[in-house]
Amino acid sequence: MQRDWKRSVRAGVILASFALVAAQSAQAIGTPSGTSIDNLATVAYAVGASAQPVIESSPGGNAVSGVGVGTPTSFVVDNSLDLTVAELSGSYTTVASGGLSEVLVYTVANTGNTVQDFSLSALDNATDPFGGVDNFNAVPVGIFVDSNNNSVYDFGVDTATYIDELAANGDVEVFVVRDIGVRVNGDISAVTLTAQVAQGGTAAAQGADILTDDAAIADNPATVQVVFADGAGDTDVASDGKHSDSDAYRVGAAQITVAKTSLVISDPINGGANPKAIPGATVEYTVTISNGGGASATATNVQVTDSLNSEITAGTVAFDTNGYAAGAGIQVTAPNLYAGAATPLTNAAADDEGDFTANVVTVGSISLAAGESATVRFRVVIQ
Amino acid sequence: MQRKAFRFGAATFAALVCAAAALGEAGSIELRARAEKRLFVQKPDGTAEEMFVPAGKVVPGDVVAYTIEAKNVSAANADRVVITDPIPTEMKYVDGTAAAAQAELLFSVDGGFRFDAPDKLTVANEDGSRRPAVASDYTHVRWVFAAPLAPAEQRSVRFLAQLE
Repeated sequence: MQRDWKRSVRAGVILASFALVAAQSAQAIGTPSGTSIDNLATVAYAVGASAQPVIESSPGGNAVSGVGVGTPTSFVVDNSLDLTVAELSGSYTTVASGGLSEVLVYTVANTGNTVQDFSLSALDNATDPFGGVDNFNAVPVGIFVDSNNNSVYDFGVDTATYIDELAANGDVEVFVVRDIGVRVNGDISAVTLTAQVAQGGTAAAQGADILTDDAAIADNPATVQVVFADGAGDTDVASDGKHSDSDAYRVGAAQITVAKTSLVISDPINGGANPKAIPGATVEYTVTISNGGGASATATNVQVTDSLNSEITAGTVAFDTNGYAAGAGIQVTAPNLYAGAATPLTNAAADDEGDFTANVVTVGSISLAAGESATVRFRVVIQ
Repeated sequence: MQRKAFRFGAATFAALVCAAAALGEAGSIELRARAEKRLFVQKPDGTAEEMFVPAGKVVPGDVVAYTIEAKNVSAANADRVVITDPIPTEMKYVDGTAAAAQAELLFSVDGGFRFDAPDKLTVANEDGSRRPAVASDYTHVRWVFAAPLAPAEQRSVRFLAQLE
């Protein structure tokens, strides 16, 4: 009696810890298709004072006593096909007239419970998702999957044209790549990406599209059946094994203007008081660049160069190598650099955004949103 | 010692003790379990009607009803009838759905080791403290019948669980 009791307690403990582990793994994602869900009820009873052996259930009814005699009531989890396509930027993708291989970025997520392939298609959409007027069609180059998961379209690397073996709850970015052609600012080309669920299970091979589910086929608890669970997308309906979303190119160009002014800031006779441009005087040049490009485009990676080569070789001026600090003859004020503060840059190359090399002043890495401006200053001494 | 064992689970204990002796013999009760999926069917007047179909096509999120029928197939009363059903690990019990006339309803939150009324069950938090158990913690459902099951009498119990 005592030994039996100990055994039953131990069995209970093992059962408990197993159930806990299983519950945690099941919480991570929806139960995978093909999982058999088994249920075996038991009844314990007595006749008079005499306890009787346990009886397990079966789907059709079981009256034979004993552990292991019953038959579980089971069904297999079916294949819920669900997916979501979403464009990432939330607004227009600004491109230049004549731009080549311009990229619209989408994510495709597998929200079903099974590994699937997805085939991809991108069609022109006459409706601008952001409320403007679609008035041209960019020329398709291709649709590519972000194979190396770096969120950037890498030519020659991201070459897959379908999504291979996307795990349940997994997502991947997809690039729609198109050429723009010669357009004018403000032109809009809307594109809708549609992902179609396809058979998964074989890596590096595109599975067949799953075009119908098993809605018309009788339920079968013993087999994995296919159920479309997707919602309606931009250009597709719910429960069709597809999902779609739209994005748009808008042609816009940054309009950079450059202005250069000079100011004599000191001379050997008057010092800083009403200095005159006489030999030995220091002159400060201010190069101002502005982006007047309406609201359409941010100019990135703007580089300002100003060559003093002819003046210096002619001997009329000398560059003031310590104009703003020791070894720093250049000063930059740009919205994206040093929090917009006027900052000295060294004459040496490669240690900051500016350098003075071969008699040329160069400042790079300036970004200007529409309406912003930046200044670059340097000083020369009149010979 | 015997009294302590009963506290851990009288039914399990009794079953294990006697199973070896009577394995495979015809018992007094026939036990049948079936699984049905819950559907909501749109009626012409726009309201949704709940209905149950055999659980064939089931995907995550679906709710399944388990119905267990116990019928006395012997000539004698069956006393102290206790039906126990584990909730499948991939499923969560839907609160308030297990009920049966004439039966006391107990749950387990530890894999069928210990059974108690819902308000007496607790679950350990990560920091070691304990909180009251909720429906999603349940691992087993148990119905304890006070009245004997008479010859030819049939009783059924039921609960709903949702596939994770």
